[in-house]
Amino acid sequence: MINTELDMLVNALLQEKDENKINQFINSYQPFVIKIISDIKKAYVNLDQDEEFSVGLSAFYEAIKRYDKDKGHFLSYAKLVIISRLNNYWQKENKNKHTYLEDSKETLQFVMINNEEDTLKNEIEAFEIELDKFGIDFECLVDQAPKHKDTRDTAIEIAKKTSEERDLLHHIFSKKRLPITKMSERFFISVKVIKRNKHFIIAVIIILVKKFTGLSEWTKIDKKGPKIDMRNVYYSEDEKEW
Amino acid sequence: MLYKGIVLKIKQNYTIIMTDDQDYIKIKTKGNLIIGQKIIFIQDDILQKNNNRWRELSIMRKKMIAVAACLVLVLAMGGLYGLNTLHTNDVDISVASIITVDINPSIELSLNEENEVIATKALNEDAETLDLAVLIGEKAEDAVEKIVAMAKEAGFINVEDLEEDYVLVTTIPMDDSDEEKSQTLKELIKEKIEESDELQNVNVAIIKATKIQMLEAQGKKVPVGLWVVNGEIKVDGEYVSVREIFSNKERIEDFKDKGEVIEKKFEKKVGLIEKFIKKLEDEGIDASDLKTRLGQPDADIELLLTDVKVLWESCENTRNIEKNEEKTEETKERIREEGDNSEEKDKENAEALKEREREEVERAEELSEKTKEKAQEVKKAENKKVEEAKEGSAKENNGKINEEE
Repeated sequence: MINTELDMLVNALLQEKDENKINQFINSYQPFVIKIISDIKKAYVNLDQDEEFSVGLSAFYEAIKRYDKDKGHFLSYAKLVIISRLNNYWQKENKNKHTYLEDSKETLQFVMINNEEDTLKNEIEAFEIELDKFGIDFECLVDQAPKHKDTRDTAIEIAKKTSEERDLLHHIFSKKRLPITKMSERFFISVKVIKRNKHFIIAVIIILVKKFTGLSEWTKIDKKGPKIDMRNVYYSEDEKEW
Repeated sequence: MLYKGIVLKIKQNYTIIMTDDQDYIKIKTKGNLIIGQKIIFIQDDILQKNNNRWRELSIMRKKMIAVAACLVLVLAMGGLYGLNTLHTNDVDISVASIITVDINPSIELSLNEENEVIATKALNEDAETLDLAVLIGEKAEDAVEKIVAMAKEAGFINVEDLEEDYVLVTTIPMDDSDEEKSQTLKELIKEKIEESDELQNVNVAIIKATKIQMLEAQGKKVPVGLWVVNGEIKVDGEYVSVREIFSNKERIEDFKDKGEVIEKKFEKKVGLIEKFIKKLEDEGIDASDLKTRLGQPDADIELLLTDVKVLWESCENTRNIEKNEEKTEETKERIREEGDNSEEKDKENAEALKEREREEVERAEELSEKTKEKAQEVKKAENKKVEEAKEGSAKENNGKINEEE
């Protein structure tokens, strides 16, 4: 069996015993570990479930330490080790389920986590409804959201600035669209840029002014927060007053 | 690279995620997901974007497009019923422009936006004898070429003779504000002439007109292209033919003020001259001077054509005279024969015949006189021209050749 480059690299790592290099190596293989865990679970790895991920990573580390040529190709070997350790972990977890729930402190945490998810779920559902008033759906956002982070940041900036201008918000929530010309003049941004990202900008504005904190904290856009509270504002075409 | 995201929406074929740097993406749907769940995923899980601009449109837009599509369908289905006759007097939506082609047959072609023929109409009796249906679906310039070919086949034009054949093409855009349409059509036809042997055998005159002019001309029963140039053209109060107009040099110049004439290709003219020189020689006439002139690099082709024409015509006349003489001989013979049989009747007949005889002979003599005179004139003119040419009036020739645009 011929050793691949990777196999040889792992061997070299072992011999050098340079912890930094090993850490770097592990970091670059994080996606690999996630994939294996996800494949076995046939589901995504939850962010909150650090445990699974940690178990996977330490298993990967173990595999590096134990690797030699007799064990075949490194990645296949690593996979076996990870799966084995994960199964151990899950078995332990199942056993521990009863104990877990009995602990009141941990129960509270558990419930809180659930609540958190619930809150977020509610926010998202409300978000979807607000977007629908503007004729936007999530699919539309997938296609229109700028793919470059920089462009997104610019759009977010535009949204932030707009959400601080009372008259612009008035226009947006009553007419269900952006006052592009005014925005362009006030913020010195070209009409083209605004038009191209209009759905995305509207989405950010909604998150900000309707105070969907779960979402805004997630994306850390709410560093300043808008000065105008529009949480409970509902608009009808006839009303000119808020 | 690891991605983190919140689940926004779950569907069978995909799940929509908002990432922590506020990107919205679609990933594969795996396991039991709930909205609001925070997950970790990798590049592999991301579903490749469909370059389908459809989904970037807001819901409203999509609805509007759907409604518009339905309307179009309904209109299209309803519209098919009205397409039996294409009235050129009405503003038919599908007709973008009209071209009329007048040679002698006068034909009207209705074109769509892409300058393809969607309807044809024969404007005079001669045109009715042609099968115009084959032109439908053709590009405008191809249809013009086909018309010329059909006219040739039917005998309306003869490219082998020395008479100049003119094809008048008039372009009429249906949208009066469209300034480019006529120009575009002209360009298309000019390009076609460059590559069409058929069209290079004739002179193509192109001019543009408006809808109103077209209607006026129709009222006067005159080809619209000529109407544009001359307002009213009446010769003895009768329908004027393209040929008649273009046989007059002055009129041709008038035409050039408003339209463009793309003359028969140079090579074709030279070919004709050569052909007729040969014919003359076959008849025993000395055309060596003409040949010399043709051979010269600065030959005045236009002039040569005219001279060859004149010479040929006189030659024809001479031949006619000879024929006439033969005929009179034959008649005399018959008279003599018949004269032997019956007396009185014959005498009367003989008298009548003799009269006719005399007239014919007189005419023949007149003709032969004229011909001889003409031939002499031509020869004189020829010699003169040869002299002038020899004197090297290159300027004259260059000037004339430049006119051939």
